[in-house]
Amino acid sequence: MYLEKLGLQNFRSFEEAAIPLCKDLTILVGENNGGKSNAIDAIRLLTQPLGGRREIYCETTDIRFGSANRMFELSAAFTDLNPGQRGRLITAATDAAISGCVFGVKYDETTGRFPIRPQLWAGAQRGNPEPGCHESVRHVYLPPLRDAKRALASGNPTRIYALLNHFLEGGAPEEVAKALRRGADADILTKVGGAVEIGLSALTAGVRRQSASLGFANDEKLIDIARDLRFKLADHGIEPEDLRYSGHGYANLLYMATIAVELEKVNDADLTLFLVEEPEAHLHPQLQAAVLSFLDEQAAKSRLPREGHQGPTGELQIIVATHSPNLSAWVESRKLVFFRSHLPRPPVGVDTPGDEAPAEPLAGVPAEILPEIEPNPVIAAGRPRRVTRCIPLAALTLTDIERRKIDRYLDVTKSAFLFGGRVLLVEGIAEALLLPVIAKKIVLKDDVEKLRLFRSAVFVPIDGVDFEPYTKLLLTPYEEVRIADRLVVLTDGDGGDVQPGEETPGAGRKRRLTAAATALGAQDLLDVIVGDYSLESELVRAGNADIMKTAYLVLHQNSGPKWDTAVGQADAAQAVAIQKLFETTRKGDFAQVLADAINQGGAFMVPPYLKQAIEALVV
Amino acid sequence: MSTKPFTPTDQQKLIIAHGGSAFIAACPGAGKTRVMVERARSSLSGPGTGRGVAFLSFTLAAVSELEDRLRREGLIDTPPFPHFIGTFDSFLWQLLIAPFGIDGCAEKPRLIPDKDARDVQPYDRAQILKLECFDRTTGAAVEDKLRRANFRGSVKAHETAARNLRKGLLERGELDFADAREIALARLRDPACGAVLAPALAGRFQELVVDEAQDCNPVDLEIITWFRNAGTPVKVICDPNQAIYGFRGGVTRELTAFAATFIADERMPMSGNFRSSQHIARAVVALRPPSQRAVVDDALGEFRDEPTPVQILSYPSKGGVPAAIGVKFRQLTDFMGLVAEDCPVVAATRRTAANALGHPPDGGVQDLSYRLAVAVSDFHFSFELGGRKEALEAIHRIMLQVGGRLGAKTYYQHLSETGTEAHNWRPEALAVADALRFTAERFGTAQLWLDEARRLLEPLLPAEGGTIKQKLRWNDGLAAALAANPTGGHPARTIHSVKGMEFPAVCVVMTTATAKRILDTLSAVAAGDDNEDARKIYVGASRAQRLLMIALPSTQADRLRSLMIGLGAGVVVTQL
Repeated sequence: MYLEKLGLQNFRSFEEAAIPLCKDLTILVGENNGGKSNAIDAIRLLTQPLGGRREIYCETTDIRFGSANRMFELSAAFTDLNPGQRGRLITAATDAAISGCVFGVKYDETTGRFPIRPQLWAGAQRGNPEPGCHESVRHVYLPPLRDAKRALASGNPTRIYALLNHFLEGGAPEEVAKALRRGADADILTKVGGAVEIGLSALTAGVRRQSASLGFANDEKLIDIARDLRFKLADHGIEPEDLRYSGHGYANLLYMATIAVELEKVNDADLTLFLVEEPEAHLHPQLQAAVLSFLDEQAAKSRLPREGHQGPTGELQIIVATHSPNLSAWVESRKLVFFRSHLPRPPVGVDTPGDEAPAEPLAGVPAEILPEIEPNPVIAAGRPRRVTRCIPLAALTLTDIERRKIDRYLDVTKSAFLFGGRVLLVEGIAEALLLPVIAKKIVLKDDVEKLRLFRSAVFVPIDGVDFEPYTKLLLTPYEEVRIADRLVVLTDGDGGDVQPGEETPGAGRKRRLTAAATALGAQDLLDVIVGDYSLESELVRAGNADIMKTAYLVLHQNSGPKWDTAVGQADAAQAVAIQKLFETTRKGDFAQVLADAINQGGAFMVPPYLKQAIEALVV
Repeated sequence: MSTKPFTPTDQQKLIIAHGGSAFIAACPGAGKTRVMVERARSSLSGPGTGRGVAFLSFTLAAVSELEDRLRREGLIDTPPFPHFIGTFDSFLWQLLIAPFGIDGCAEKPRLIPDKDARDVQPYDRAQILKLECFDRTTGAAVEDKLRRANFRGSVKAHETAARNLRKGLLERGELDFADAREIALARLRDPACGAVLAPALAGRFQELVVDEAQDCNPVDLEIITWFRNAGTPVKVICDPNQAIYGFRGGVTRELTAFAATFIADERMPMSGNFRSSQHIARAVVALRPPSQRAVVDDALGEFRDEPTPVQILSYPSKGGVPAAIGVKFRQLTDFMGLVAEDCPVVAATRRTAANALGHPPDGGVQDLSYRLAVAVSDFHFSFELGGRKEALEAIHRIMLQVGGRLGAKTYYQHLSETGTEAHNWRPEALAVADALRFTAERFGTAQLWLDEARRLLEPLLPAEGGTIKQKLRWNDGLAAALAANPTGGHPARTIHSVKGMEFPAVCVVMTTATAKRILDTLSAVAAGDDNEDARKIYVGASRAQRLLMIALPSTQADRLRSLMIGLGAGVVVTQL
């Protein structure tokens, strides 16, 4: 079974949302404050922690900020149940065929009872679940591991130590302890002090090597997990033994050890949801992919049937919240759910948004909790408020070919556009390097506000001219929300070899992209800016031959005459010649030298189409 | 209940080790609970399949005893999930009704156990009949019940009203246990649902244990059969001779037919009686119909060598049940050094038992004041938690009636509609029970008690709803009701209320009205052997550990004596 859909109503940044999730692995991506952690917390409130110790509870502050409706509700719908799971979760069945099951939590302050007890309900009838069945689904929460010490304090230090030992094939415990202590000193969490020392002392003095390895030898499963994890790291070219010499090496290992220890417990439940928040906060980039693909494999493995076993199936589902492009680049787009904060249009029929709060918005709310609500006064219904919206990339209507292209093209650089907002797609690295400098130094230099907007935009060189799949991905609406607020495509006309009267390749691209956007109802959000020829030709045509020649000579000291010859020609012939010149020049390097020159105040004329692109992005 | 290490008999060993389905006929005091616990230990230990066991019974008392034992032995956790421990009805309700609702009804199903107590009144001033007077399916009036309700005249209008009422209640999702069983069975029988439920339940439960299965009605048995066919081994444990829930529709004939569906190796007896003396164990066999005496129980427990023979008290056939029975019983228990409060006088009705103890009759009065007095006494003199809970519920119901809160609704309908949970009302009901506990020191007379009750309940009266004196009238039986359980005496109990329990001494009272037929059945004179009155006597008698006294009219005493002696019991007959 797996968690198929998470429902959130009036919860923190969510108004009403249904987030679909994938069977093995789902990655929640999006900007900061996009609501990813809120979705993770919703799962933590809906299910029991695997370790049994709950860390968060429903609170009055979980009700959507400023909402007059003093309640929130969360629901988790599971599907793909095997017969035994159907039997165990029958009281939560969604239908007569038990094709799924559903649990919900309702926190309601308007009942007038105090203290407020969140109500757990189950099944299509929203009845009481059979006591105990709710615990068939558990979660493991892996917070951003900012403090290795703290992670040690919870969990079983002996086991974690034994696991580390296995990884390192006998590293000195003192060394491990020292490395971890240093990492934690920098943190504000020194406050936790006393309690944490207990965990740490287990590592330093209390544990003898023999006893640790003894505990380990008895534990076949844990050692199997360790072996798998080790292989996975090797696949990614990482040797655990080398890790200890890098800055956060031990903490990285500790993170993985924590995962392994948790994984060992999952067989007691039918389904364990591994909630991994910001793995990038601690793991180095290479490790992020290694660890996640390890988890993904464990999830797939957990679904293999076990002969003769009909008890809890020990299945695993991984949900990761990240702003690391590394991770989103690493999985196929179907597994991504994009999160963003959205400002809905005011509902039709509500005239002028009044500042007056509705009469008696807090009716029924017990007096005991009013002081907690007061700091977040009720916001009048008409006033617009930001809400979290999700776009499951799997739900976007793309053809198979387009989706395959996106999956192939999405690398670390390109997946940056999954952080949404204003997106500028350019052909290559040269545009991506030059445009920020041009905007800052010239086009927007007197407009602080627009420059700020420009800086928040995402620049994506797509290494080619196949803009269409990206455009569709960014502009396809899902429940009236799109990944991009504004999309500017900057492309070359490539008109050098085109007969007069014929459409340039660039114009053709513009026509097709505009048509695609119109079909998606997003014609207002897209600007396709086309130059006549190529970037470098256009720069020369705008009157930058001198500053460009200087930059060119930095890269090709003896090619002055070659430059002069090319620039000396006219119109299309010049464009073709310059383009030819740059066929043997690394455009990125050239753009960097040129950008430096502009930065240092060199005279530079902005070609009109670049100016247009910059302005279009900050409209 | 001894703490000695458990050494199972050969019969018990077979059952503990048996993995498949079985029909287990157990005599009274056979150590069923112990055997179920050991069976669970054996099936849950070792490399299992990870599935659970469903333990079902028919009374809350039996369920909670088993649950306690399993928990103390560390075989289940709290909550017991993935195991299930509960009554048969709660199992059906929780797993087959509540999650799915009622087909064709949008309302969430609600359990109204006393739905049949709803009033049927087709028009103003028409005689009120209870819904139970009408057949569940056809809606036709049941002759027998009309007669008992003294109904005369045309019942057509009532039948229509009853049909409409039943339909309306169903549309509102209000079900009683009989409805629930039928809906559950329909769900299991439905090919589409059954195809899902069979593997799901077989995937969850490795074994289905049904205790007290003699209380199964035909629908229950069909449900058990469904599980068996679906691949879940079922253990049916019963004492067919203890079937005394005829009102639940339990029928021994069906049970016999059901037993016949098990092959010989799956029919496993437990005939070792660990409760009673050898005399009592043998005498109890005599109380089974002739066809059920093939296996003779053997006393194996700590009281097996108790020398006291079974006492038959023969009282004059004319003039009803005499109070001399209680006196004689007291003499004997005192002689044996037993505490009278631990030794009940039991009979089919509480009134017969009370008569035998010389308690004044209650006259079947319906006055609220009288019922309150009975409920308060019951609360303070019940043996076990279940009885006290029921008494509290009765007090709560009376409080609601004084407050005019029920209207035409039944008690459970009211609870369900107002979302009232036990913890909402129990504190108040407890306070009333405590405040009205009757002792001579606190209230000199029944009148003073009634004054206090009126003072206490007056604030509950509705705004315009008469006076408290109208609600709580003086009743001549009050004094008797309040004194019905004098401390230091034998309690008077119905046989139903002592089911599953055991006492050092028991006095079972037969009335002139039933004794002859009972003895006819036991002597194979009457045609057939399906006599619930006889089974009740069997249940009552088999509660006794050391002393069993049976009081019956002199005309039948000798017949009983020779039956018992014939089975090897020592018997003494005393004429009153």
